[in-house]
Amino acid sequence: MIMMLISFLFTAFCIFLQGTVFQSLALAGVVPNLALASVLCFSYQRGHRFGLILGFLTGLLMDILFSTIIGLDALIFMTIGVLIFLIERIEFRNPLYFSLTVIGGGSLIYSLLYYVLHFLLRGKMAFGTYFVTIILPEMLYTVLVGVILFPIIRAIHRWYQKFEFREE
Amino acid sequence: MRRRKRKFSRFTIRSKYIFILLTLLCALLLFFSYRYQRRFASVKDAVYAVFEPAEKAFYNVKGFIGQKVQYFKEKGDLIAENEQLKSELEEKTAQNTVLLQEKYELEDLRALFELDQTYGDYPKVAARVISRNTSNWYDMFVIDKGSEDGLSVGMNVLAGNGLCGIINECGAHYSRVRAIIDDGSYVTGNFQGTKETCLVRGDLTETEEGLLSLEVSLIDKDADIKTGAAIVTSQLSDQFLPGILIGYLTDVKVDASTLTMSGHLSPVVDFSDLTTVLVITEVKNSEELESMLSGD
Repeated sequence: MIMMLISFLFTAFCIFLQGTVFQSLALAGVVPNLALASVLCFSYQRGHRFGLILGFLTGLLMDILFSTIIGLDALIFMTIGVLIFLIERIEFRNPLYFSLTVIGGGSLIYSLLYYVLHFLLRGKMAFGTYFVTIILPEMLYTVLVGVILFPIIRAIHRWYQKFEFREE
Repeated sequence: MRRRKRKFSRFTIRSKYIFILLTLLCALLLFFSYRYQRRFASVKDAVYAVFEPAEKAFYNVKGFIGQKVQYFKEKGDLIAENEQLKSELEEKTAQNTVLLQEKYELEDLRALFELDQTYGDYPKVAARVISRNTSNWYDMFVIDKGSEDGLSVGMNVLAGNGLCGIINECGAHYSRVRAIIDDGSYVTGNFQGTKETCLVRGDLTETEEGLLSLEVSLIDKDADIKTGAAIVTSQLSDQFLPGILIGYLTDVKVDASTLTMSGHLSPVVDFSDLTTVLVITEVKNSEELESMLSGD
C-alpha cells in the first residue's frame, strides 16, 4: 500500500516532467513517455497485479489532467501494466537490456493502442507517417530515458524491501 | 546477486478478475464522462487545485533549461552566423533606404483600402501557459486562468498577432486550449483580399521537423489565389470571431476532383515556444452555445 503511494507519486512526478521540463528537451519533435517507463519499471519490480493498479491510477490521472473523456488512457496504461506478467520471471540485471526489450516493447504497444483508439477510429490511415514521425522517435527516446529510470526505481524498491523484511 | 522471490508469477485468476473489473470501470467512466461532461468538471477542478502549483513551478524550470539547451545548441552556429550577418548588413542598409520610401507609400494605400479592420477592439485577457499535453499525438496546452477569471468554452486564443487556438475545456482555475495545429482542429477561413472561403485543418502528418504547417482545402477552383496570401478567420465560422489572422498560404494545387484546390498554410504563431497567450473574452454566438452545452 505504501509502495503503491510512493510509486504513484513518482509516476505523477514523471507526468509533470513530461508536460513541462521535457517539452524543451524534445528531440526530433517528440517527448519521451516517462510515465510509461516508470509504470513498467515499478510493475516489473512488484509484479503484474501491482502494475495493473498502478497503470490504472496513472492513466486516470493523465485522463483527468489532459483529456476531455476519462477512461481511455486508464485502459491503455492498465493493459500495459498487466502485460508485464509475460516477462516478470526473467531477471534483467543490466538496465540497458531491460530498457531495450521491455520499455521499448511497452512504448510500441502503447503507441499502437493509442493510434488505433484515437486515430484509426477517426479514419486517419497514414500509419507509415505516424510510425516514422512519432512512434519510432518516441520509442527510442523512451528507451534512452528508461536506462536512467530503471536503476532509480530498482533502488527505491530495494530500499522499501528492507522495511518489508523487518516487519516480517 | 540473489534471485528475487515473486509472489505472483503467473497471470493469476484473481488478477484476471481485477483486470476485467477495471476494464468495465473504464468503459463506464468513458460513457459517463462523455455523457455528463459538466458533472465531471468538479472532479477535474479538485485534481487541478492540487497539481496546478506544481505544474507552474515545473514550467518555470522548463524555461530555464530551455535557455541553457538553446545556448549550447546555437553557440557555434552563432559565431559563423555573426560573420555572415555583418556582411549582409552593409548590403541591407542600402536596400533599406529604398524600402522605407515604399513603406510610406504602402501605409497610405492601406488606409485607403481600409485593411486595418484588425482585432484590436476585442476585449482580451492575458494568460500563462502552464503545461503542454504530455502525449506526442495531440497539440493541446493548459493555461492558468479559468471560469473564475471570466473565461469559458469556445473563447478564441491568440498568441503574438495571430490565431493560436480555442478553449475546449474550462475549469475554475485552468483552461485547456486546442491549438489550431492539433490533429482534429478545423477552422473556416477566408483570404483577406478576395474573400474566398477555405477550410483550415490541423494535420499531424504535416508537422515535420519543427516546421508546422496546416492544410487548407476546399478553395473554389476559379479563385484567384497566389502563394503568400493572408488567411483570416471567416465570418462563416460558428466558433471563431471574424478577421483574426491565421497565417500565409505557402503552396496551392488543384485537387484530383478538379473542382476545388488545396494547399498548405504557414501559421503566424510560433507554436514551439508558447509562454503567454491572449484570450478574447467574447464568444461567438454565445447564447446558442450555452443552450447547446446545457442540453445535457
